[in-house]
Amino acid sequence: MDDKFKAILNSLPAKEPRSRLEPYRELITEMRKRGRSYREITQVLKKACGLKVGTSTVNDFVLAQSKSKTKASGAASKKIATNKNKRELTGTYKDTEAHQSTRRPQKALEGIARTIKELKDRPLKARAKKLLFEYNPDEPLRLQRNQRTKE
Amino acid sequence: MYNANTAAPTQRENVKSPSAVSSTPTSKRVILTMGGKGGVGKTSFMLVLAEWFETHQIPVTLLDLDTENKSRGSLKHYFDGTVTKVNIHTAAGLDAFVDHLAEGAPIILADMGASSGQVTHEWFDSMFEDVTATGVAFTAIGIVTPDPASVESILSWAARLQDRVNYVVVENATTHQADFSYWRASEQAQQFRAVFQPVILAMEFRLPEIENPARQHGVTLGQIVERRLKVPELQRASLVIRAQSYRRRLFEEIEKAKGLLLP
Repeated sequence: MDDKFKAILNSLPAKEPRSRLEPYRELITEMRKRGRSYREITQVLKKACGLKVGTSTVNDFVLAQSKSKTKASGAASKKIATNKNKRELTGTYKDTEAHQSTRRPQKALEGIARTIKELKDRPLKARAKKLLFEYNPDEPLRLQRNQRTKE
Repeated sequence: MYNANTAAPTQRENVKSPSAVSSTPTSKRVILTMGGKGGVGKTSFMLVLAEWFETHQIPVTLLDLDTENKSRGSLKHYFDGTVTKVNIHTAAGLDAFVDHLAEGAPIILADMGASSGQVTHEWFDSMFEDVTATGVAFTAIGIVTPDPASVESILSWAARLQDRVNYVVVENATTHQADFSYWRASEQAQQFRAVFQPVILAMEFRLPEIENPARQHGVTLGQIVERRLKVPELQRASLVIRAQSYRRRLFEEIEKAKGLLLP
């Protein structure tokens, strides 16, 4: 980039976060990971952080976060693939682009195949845990002989 | 006189945490009554337990989840202003536990109402795993009286809660010569004790001269002892000393379960 443009960019003041939820990004992300609903998150923000926002605001914020993450990771992988192709292939830049969209490195393909196999082989989580104690409320309590206890 | 040493045989000193709650280091604790049977003394015990925490200057959050017991006899009746009444019969059910813990309370005392079993069990089934992952442990308090229904109630709760909670069972002597045969000598109760090794506490018979006016005016033993009331029938010197004596002995009993009452 031209030095003049760089200087202009550097002189600009830091941009304020676009959302007032930005300082709570980690908290919100963690609560979503733990399965909390947007409504519950809104309540926690209100009670614990004193921040009054609507459920839809939290929803929009989380969606925007996940979109920007996808965008960033997509851009990064594109860059890596392009550089790699540039090294490996001798064709034009256009050829490289075509390649990166249709071909993946062999190692990556093997990794995906391994993950799929592991996922298929993983046993389902046993929900029905063996009960340590069972009690039938329809049966009367059975007193043991000679064990009546009185103070 | 009720003798604590006659309490049901169990490993009272050798307290072992149930497997499901011992794997995660705990920093907070929810203490809830097993609220199947009404009128067994759940609130009476919780009042003394709240006073025990207060005496040790440990902050607790009091939740009154006894939606049926609206007026006299509920936790709110005794600690009005510091007790939050929670209606558990909503979609969020007992999520109040999570919200209050998130606000910083290290200990919650939750007085469940009679017939709160179904809601509580469903909440445990759906929320327990994720709540305990945040370092929250649960202690269930069961109150038994000579009435076999009180024993059945505890066993029903235990069959649903399993080892997700620690158990404390209070033998509440509702009469002078209380007979706890169904709790101490029934096969099912013995099996419960063998599996979960509850800590068993004795709550001795209280004179109606104290119990009835205390309930009527919503006063705790501590308030009687400190003579902070204007209730003539509770100002007799003998009753004040008796209240002090009840409270002291119950505090001594509570000490036996302190490992399951503190985070």
